[in-house]
Order: sequence, then structure tokens, then C-alpha cells
Amino acid sequence: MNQWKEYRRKFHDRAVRIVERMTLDEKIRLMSGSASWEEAQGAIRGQFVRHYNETPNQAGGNGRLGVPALSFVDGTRGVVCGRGIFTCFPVSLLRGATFDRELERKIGIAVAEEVRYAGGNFFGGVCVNLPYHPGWGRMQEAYGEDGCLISGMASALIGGVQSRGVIACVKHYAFHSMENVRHSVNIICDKRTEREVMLPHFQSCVEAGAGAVMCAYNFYQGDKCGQSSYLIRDILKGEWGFDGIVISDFTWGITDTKKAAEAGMDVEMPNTFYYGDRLKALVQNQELPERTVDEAAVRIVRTVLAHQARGGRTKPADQDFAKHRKLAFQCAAEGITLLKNERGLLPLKAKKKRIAVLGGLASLELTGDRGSSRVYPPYVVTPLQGIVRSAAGAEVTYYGGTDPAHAGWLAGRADYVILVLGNDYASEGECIETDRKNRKHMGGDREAGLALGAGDQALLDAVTAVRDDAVVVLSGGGMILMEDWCEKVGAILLLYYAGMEGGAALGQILFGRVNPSGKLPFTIVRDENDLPKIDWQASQQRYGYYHGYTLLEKNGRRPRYPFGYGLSYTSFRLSGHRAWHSGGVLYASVTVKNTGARSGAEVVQLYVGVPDSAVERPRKLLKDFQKVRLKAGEEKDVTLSCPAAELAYYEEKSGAFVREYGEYAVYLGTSSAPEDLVVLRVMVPDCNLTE
Amino acid sequence: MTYSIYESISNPTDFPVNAFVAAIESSTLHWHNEYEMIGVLKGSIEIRVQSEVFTLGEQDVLLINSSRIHALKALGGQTCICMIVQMNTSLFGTEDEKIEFYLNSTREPAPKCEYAVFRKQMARIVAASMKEDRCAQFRLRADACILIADLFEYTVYDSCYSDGVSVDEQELVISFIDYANDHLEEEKILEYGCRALGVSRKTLDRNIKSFLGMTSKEIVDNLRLEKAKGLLKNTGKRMDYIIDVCGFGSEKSFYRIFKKKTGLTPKDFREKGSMEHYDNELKGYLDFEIPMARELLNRVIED
Repeated sequence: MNQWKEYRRKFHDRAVRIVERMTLDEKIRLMSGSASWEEAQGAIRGQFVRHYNETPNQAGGNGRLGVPALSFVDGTRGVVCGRGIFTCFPVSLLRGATFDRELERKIGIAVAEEVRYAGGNFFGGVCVNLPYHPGWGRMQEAYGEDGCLISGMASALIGGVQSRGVIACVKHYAFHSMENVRHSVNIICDKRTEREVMLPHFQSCVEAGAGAVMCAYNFYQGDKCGQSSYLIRDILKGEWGFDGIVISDFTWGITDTKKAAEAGMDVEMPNTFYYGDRLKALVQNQELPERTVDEAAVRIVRTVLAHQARGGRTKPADQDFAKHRKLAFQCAAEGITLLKNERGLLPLKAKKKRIAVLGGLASLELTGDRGSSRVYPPYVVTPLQGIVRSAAGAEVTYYGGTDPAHAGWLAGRADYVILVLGNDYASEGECIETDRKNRKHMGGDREAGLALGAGDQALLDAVTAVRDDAVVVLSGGGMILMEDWCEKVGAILLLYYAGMEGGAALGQILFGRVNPSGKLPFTIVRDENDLPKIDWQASQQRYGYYHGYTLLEKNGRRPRYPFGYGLSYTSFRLSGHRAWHSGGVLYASVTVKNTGARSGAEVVQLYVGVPDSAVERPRKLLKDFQKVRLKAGEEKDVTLSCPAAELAYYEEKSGAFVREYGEYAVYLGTSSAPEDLVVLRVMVPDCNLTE
Repeated sequence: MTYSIYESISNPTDFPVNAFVAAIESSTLHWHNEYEMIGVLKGSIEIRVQSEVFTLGEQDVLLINSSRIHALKALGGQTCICMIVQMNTSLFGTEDEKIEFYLNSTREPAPKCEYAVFRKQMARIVAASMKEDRCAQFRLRADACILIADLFEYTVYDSCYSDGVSVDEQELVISFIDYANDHLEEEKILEYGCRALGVSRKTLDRNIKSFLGMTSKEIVDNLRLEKAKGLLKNTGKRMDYIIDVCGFGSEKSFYRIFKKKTGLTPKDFREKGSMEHYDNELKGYLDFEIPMARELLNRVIED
């Protein structure tokens, strides 16, 4: 049992006693949000002067018996509340690219401190959806395409958040990785996909002790996730033993009082509509046993009391906000990913150079979409500002217009050209309706495809026509196809959405003050046809067993840039690869040496495959990773591990995971590409004999 | 550092826009912080902006960006009548950002609107500047803001930050022109100038050539000529005095250079017409007869 569950259990008896003293009305009041219908509707569409979540959304609570309300603060890139106060961290996708759990834990602590400052006790910003297709509008809120990476980073965030008395809420449970039809799409998939691909990272978060889970809008196998007995009662609470609070997504998260209550939905958010009087009537008419309400009430009270008792009363002071901004900078610096660097073009030498910065995105505040995760920080350093700050001694000319001829002319007379291209809140993100009558929206899935927009492509063409050494900086929270142009440019940096300090970090990377160490948290394919088939307007969508690098490996397709890939300004050598099995755990160790002339960081990655498996499987899956920082010439030993149980496959017939014994293939290296990995064979004997 | 070729532009009001009609004969190379927009109303004019030379006729319009070294010269032996709007950079953006507009009806890139939009707007501003009623001050401000909005909306523009590299290149050229202006009487001005600036003749010429597209000798001849023209028009100084202080060396070379550049002998130039208000402060913009200016402006506005 995880330590958080054990800890919360200590509050069980007290919670039961409190709930026993409550009237039915009081118990039911615990189970829904206190926003008005108009607030809930208007705020989501951004029609109010106050933004969505300007102050924490309140739900439940009981003053008479001293039960605090849930005070919901949204995320994922920081605290959504207020304006001009809170820290905007890089989006989860960039944080995934750091491959650094410890850094993510620190971000969790910082976020929780700010949640408390905002008056909240509940952070709704642990998003662990697995992007089945990298055109998903909200992929920026995911840590990447891989379940192990998502589990590792989300668990770290949960640990950090909950260490400061704030409940971490994991979302959107489950199968949520289509945006435009999120309210209507029915997801289907086979059991192995469900159990091996789409759900394990949710289970990891439960095991990491998360105190709350938010259900998704979409349907799974015909049931709305927020009222799916299969997902909530059977799997989440039953099989995984989740003891915390289940909440609905905001408005339309549930649409059937009885089904939702029976499934185990504890709290309707953010307003009372399907619960409240409707729920009371069901109990009074004996259509729903009062026990169902009692159980939900106990869970809510137990969880709130337990987490409240954990948190000190400290609120962050000014110097803490400064510290958090430094952390936002550090995270951006560690996540921005260098994909290409021909002939050591980067870092740029600024002195006495003319630098042309092209592309309108360079002067925008690129913090991500403008949906429910939008943070309103006191300032945002744009890429252009960051470049100007770091380019001491250089002359920086910025052209944000769209005339390709002018861009080409500027490019021709500059010493260096930096193109900032890609996406922003208008072209991807949460789907926000802007004009109901004409069915217009901003953000959403990338239905037009994953290539650069026509304007960006024209700028790029104009520049590559006059020189082959442009530096391309890509903004965006998803994959951008680059097959047509990546050979025509000198360097490619993936900026993602790098938070309020993102421009500063970019500038320091471009000019060498910071050595990049981000690694791709998703695969960049050569051809859109290498991706799973998806219909963004579907009423029903099947998720297949393979996606991302597992799909490419199955089909024998080479990616343009593989998952886990990223360059540094220094070089590393891995030696002394070893792998062994002990006590039901696979281990692998390697010595990493910085063989270049400057400090840097490398991410050692462990992938495991089961070559002689009884069932069809991915060739390999990421199972562990470790970021290691090394000074020039320094070397360190890194040991990674993976419980053999994680390599069990799900057998539909028995409804259970089956462990296999025999030879496992252990891949150890610095990306998912075969040339970056050393393969070792390890015998895993039958655990019944050895353990 | 102050440069003598720096033109300080004064405004009649506290609003940092200076708009007027001027009859232009010629000017020496100069620069100022203000953006300068020139629209030809009558005649034609050759404008040098650093190393590029443009010929503007009626209907044309040109924006000279802040701090660009430029010179004007009327063509066809006639004065050229232009409307000029000078706008302080403080109206445009932040201090660390220097915006450069590309608006030149004789060159690409074209704006997203007709050039006439800019000409009309300039004419409105200049017309307002010629009125004395109370509302005209506000019209001028409003119209100037519309002009700036039009520039941002319709023209191609880029922004320059920490323009150290260009300033360094420009500095030697400006220092040389300053030196030359102060020492025109010296016959060996190029030799002394190089010594004073601590550069070789070769370095000086290479810099001037790349920055202005001219030779140092051409610049000196040009400066001497303009000084001589001013003295001929505005003073009764004797020829030998003028030859001396302008550093032409001999009467022969004075006549040769003067004839070549103006098509006239110095004597004919002095006697031809009277341009009484040749104003050294404003580098060659002449006061112009007001009713005719109004008529020309109205033609642009109503066109």
C-alpha cells in the first residue's frame, strides 16, 4: 500500500464520525461545486471579465463540522488563479523533455506553495493522458507519448504538490486524447491496449498517492467516463484500491445523476446540477441507497482532512516567487531540445555579428494555449527578448511580417538567421468556442495536418533559398513535420511552450550560456502516414495497440528524430554496459563520461523487450531513465531498473496480467534509436523458483 | 558625441512632428534622429540615402529612416517642391527598439495599400501645420497618428535592437564628414583627415565606399560645392575668398567642378534668380510661397 493511502487511512474514523453527524442535505452538499450555472458556462467560454478560475472554485465543505471545502486551482503549467502573480512554468510536454523527475518534484512543491497562496488546497493540474496521435490539441499538457515517462514525471509532480498540503488531482481519466469532439467521442479499444497502453500511468499515479482523480468528458465503450462503473468503481477504486476523491470534469462531465453516483463519482464540478436536489430525490425515492452518498462523503472528508493536516501554514514570500521563476527558467533550459546542429553552428558567437530574427512568433508570449490551463504570470520573456538579452555585441534585426521577399533579403545580409516558427494558442490547444453561430473556435486538434502553416513555410522557403545555415526554433505543443526542410537548415531547436522564462532560456542556449539537454518526449516521423489513423471529427474512435515509436518499430519505419533524442554542445561516451536480474527486478548499469570540453547533461534510457514472448508485443518499451550531469571529463556510473512485473502482458481470457520467463532484451543508451543503444540479453527465471 | 552634420530639428509646437512644404535645391549629406517622409509635389529630385540613390518624381513618396545619412538634390536645374513630414522616434516605439520602415514608391517591397494613401495623409498633416486655428493643432496630431498607424499596418517594417554593428561602421564615415566640414579650406584635407582619424586612406575609402557608395574625394567636392553655393547666394564675398575658404586650391578647379556639377559658372549661379532665404539651419529647405503650396496640397488631398 502506498504511503499516502496509509496516511489518509488514519483520518478514516474521524471522517466517519463527522459524516454520521451530517444530514442528508449536508452530505450531498459535499458532493458538488458551488459555482452558479452562469459562472460555469460563461467562464469556460471566456465571456467574463474575470477569467476562468480567477479565484479557486469551491466545492463541498461544512462549516458546522469544520470540514474545509475543496478549493480547486487549475493547472497544468502553474497556478491558473489571479493575474500577474503566479509563476508560469513550461508546459508538461517540455517538462517531459527534461526527463528529470527531481526537477518535476521541485516544480510540484513550488506550484503547491502558490496554490496555497491563492487560497487553494486542490491542484487540478496533473495531466497524464497519453497522446495517441501527436496532433492532439492538448498534447502540450502531456509529458510525452510514452507511458513510463508520463508515470515517472507525474508521480514526481504528485509527490511535490502533496508535500505542501495540497491534493494532487490526476486527469483526465481516461482515454482523453482528442479535443474537438471531447464531449461526444466514444473511444473503443481492445483489452490489451486498455490495460497495457492507456491505463498503467493512471495506476502509477494512484500508487504515487494522488488524492484525487478527475474523469474525462469523452465516452469509453459507450459510457461517459465520469459515470462509467467499469472505469471508476471496478478499475480505479476496485482493482487499484484508490481511496481518494473522484471529481467530474467541468460542466458536462456527468449527465446522469444515478449512473454517475452508482459509478462512484464523488464530486460534480464546478456547479451543482445533476447532483444536489436531483441526487437527494434519488435517495429519498430509494432509487439510490444512502450508503452510496455516505461512502462518497467519507472519502471527501477523509481526503480533505488528511491533506489539510499535512500542509504547514506557510505562504510564499516575494523571494519564494523569485525562486519559482528561477525554477521555471531552469526547467526551460533543461527541456528545450536541440535536434540538429550542423558543423557546430550553435552556440552562436554574437560579437560583432548581424542576426536576423524572423517570424512573428518570436515576439509573442508563447506560454501555451488559452484554455483552462492558461496561467497569467506577471511577465513573459519572448524569444526575441531572450535573444536580444543574450546576444551581447550583436545587432539583432527582427522582422515579424509575412513578406517572404523581405525575409529573404534580411536573411541574405545577416551573419546568422534565427527563424521562429510553429504553433501558438490559435493553432492548437484546448478547443475554445469563439463564435457559436459560425462554429468557430480557437485552439483544438490540428485537423489540417502536422506540417508548418503556409505562412511559416513561405518564410522558411525564402530563407533556405539564400542560405543553408538558418537556425529554426519551433514553438508548439505537438509534433511538427520537418521532412521537407530539415536538410536545408543548419540547426533545429524545439522550444515547446517554455513558460514565462522560456525566451530567456532560449537566448542562453542559442549563445552558449546554457548547454541544451532536453530529449524528445515523442517521435518525429518522416511521414504523417507513419502515425496511427485518427479522425478528429469521429463519433467513435478506436485506439490501436501501437502508437509513437512502438508503431514505427512494428512497421519498420525510421523516424526523422527518434523518441528520447536530443543533442548537447558537449559529447558523452557510454561504456561498461551491464545488465542482470535479481529478485524479480531487471537492472542495467553503464558508465557515462563527458568527453567534450564543457559541462552538460545526458539522459540514460533503459528499454526492455521480450523477444520470445508468447504474444505480439512492441519491440521495446522505455522502462527507466536517469538524467546525469557531468563536468568536462567527468564520469559517473548510472544504474537503472525495472520490475519484471511491469513486463507482464494482459491476458483477456483470464482477465489478468501474465508474467513471462526467459530471455529479455535490455537496451541501454541515449535515445530510442538502435544506433544509440546497446542490447544485452538477460535471463529472467521463473519467479516461483527464485523469489 | 555630437556631429556637425547632425541636424537638430526644432518644432513649433510641443508635438514632435515637423511638417512643411519646401522648395529644395540641394543639401549636403546629413542625418537626424527623426523619420523623414518626402512627397514630391512638383519637379523631381534625387535622394541619396547612404549608398543608394533614388530619383523621385511627382506622385512619389519616400520614407528616410531615423539616423540615415542622406542628401537631396533637385533635378533638371529646377527647384523641386516637396512636402516633408519629420517625426520623432519617440512616437514609434520603445527606446531599445529601432523600427525601420520600407516605404519607397520607386522600390520594392510595396505596401499593402496604394502609395496615394501615404501622400494624402502627409498632405493633410502639412496642410494642418499651415493653419493657425485651434483645431488644426489637434488635426495635425490626429493625422500624424493615423499616418503612423498606416505605416505599421501597410508597410513592411523590421525592428533593430542593439544596433552596435551598424553604428560602428557609420561612425568613421560621420567622423570623416565632420572633419571635412570643419577643414574645407585645407587643400590636403584627405591626408590630414586620415591622420586626424588615425586610419589609412585605403581604410577610409573602403568604409565610405561600402557605406555611402562614394569616394572620399567626391564627398569633399560635394561639401566644398555646397559651401560655395551658400556663400555665392547669401553673401557678397569675393570669388578668391570663396575659393580659399572652400579649399578649391585654384580658380581653374573651382570653375571646373562648379560647372560640372551645376551646369553654371559661379558667376552665373550668383546672378541667376534670387533665393534669399537659403537657410543653412534647415539644410536646403527653402521657404515657399504659401498659396501655391496650399494649392498643391489640396490637389493631393482631393485627388
